[in-house]
Amino acid sequence: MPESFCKAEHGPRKLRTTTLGGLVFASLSDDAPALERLSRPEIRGRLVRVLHKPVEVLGRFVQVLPNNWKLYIENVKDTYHASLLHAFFGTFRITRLTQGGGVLVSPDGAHHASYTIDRADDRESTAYRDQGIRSEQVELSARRSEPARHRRRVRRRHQAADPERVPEPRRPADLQLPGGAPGPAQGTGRDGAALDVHRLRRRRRPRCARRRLRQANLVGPAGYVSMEDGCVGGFVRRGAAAAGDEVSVVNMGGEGAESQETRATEASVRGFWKAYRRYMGA
Amino acid sequence: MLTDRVTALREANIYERQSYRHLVGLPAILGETDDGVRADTPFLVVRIMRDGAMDLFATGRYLDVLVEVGDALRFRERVVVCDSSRIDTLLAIPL
Repeated sequence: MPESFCKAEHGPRKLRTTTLGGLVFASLSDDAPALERLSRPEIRGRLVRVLHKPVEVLGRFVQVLPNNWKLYIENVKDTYHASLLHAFFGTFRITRLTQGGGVLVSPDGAHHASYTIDRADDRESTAYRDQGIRSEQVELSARRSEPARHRRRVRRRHQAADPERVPEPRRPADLQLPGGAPGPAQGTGRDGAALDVHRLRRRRRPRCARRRLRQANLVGPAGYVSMEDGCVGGFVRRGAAAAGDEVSVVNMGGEGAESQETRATEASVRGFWKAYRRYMGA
Repeated sequence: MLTDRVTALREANIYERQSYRHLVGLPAILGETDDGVRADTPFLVVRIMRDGAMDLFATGRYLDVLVEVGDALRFRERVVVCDSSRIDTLLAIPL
């Protein structure tokens, strides 16, 4: 190389990074606000609470989704669909529809944390089952699933960054990152996205690893829960394509994007779209 | 665990109707141990969706342990190892 060549001027693009709870967040943008400015301390606190001890990766895989990445973000932001759609949660009592809960939304709407709280008076309620809701099928509820067995032994009261992703208190299970689809220009195409799923466990806990592997039955393309999350985006995409000029609105939990003490709300979904429109100048 | 899987597919889960066409290669007999005969068999799966769309869905190997029971060979163990860790959203039917 000639003397005049300056290696410092010709390197790979540098990522701006910051860490939280052992997770590394990276951005190609120097102008994006700092992570601390984007999310509420309560939200960061819940993430750190789940990842409060060192973890290691048990395994990883990529789940290819047949829809735009934003539809999957909606799925994660939607705090109530899990109880209604995923029959395994209700029928195997991993969660109950009668549980209390809530959602915390950051001031700009883009970030959220949701939680469930078990209440003793809810344990025997049949209010939802009496309505014949799919996820409360009684003939199934007599059965007990393998992943749920351990769950029944853990503490009754818990809070987690996202109950759908973290089925136990204070223990990391899955972190689903929209890998390959961080934005509309870098997705796997307009109608495609990919989830990078990491199975985690606590370090130096062999029994924990076995449990985590069993719980892998819930996540990923073959997961009792995630297979539905994966294909539902495709249903929505195909349905929406046939009704481009139609509009339907359900104001679940009002019109705002503020924190609420219930999960029966779309506050975090609205928050995402408000933030997206603002970021994109739409 | 197997009961859960069957219950999920028959009753609990929502997913699109689909079927697989398995092409299974010749098993390589790796030898006999106290557990049984070990075999390594390659496979290829084409997935056919309800609308007729076909995908090359998965390829990999079956790592089997077989035992003789009477006149028959039976599986004691089957581990499915996929060639790729990137899998389309719906792996409802076991490979």
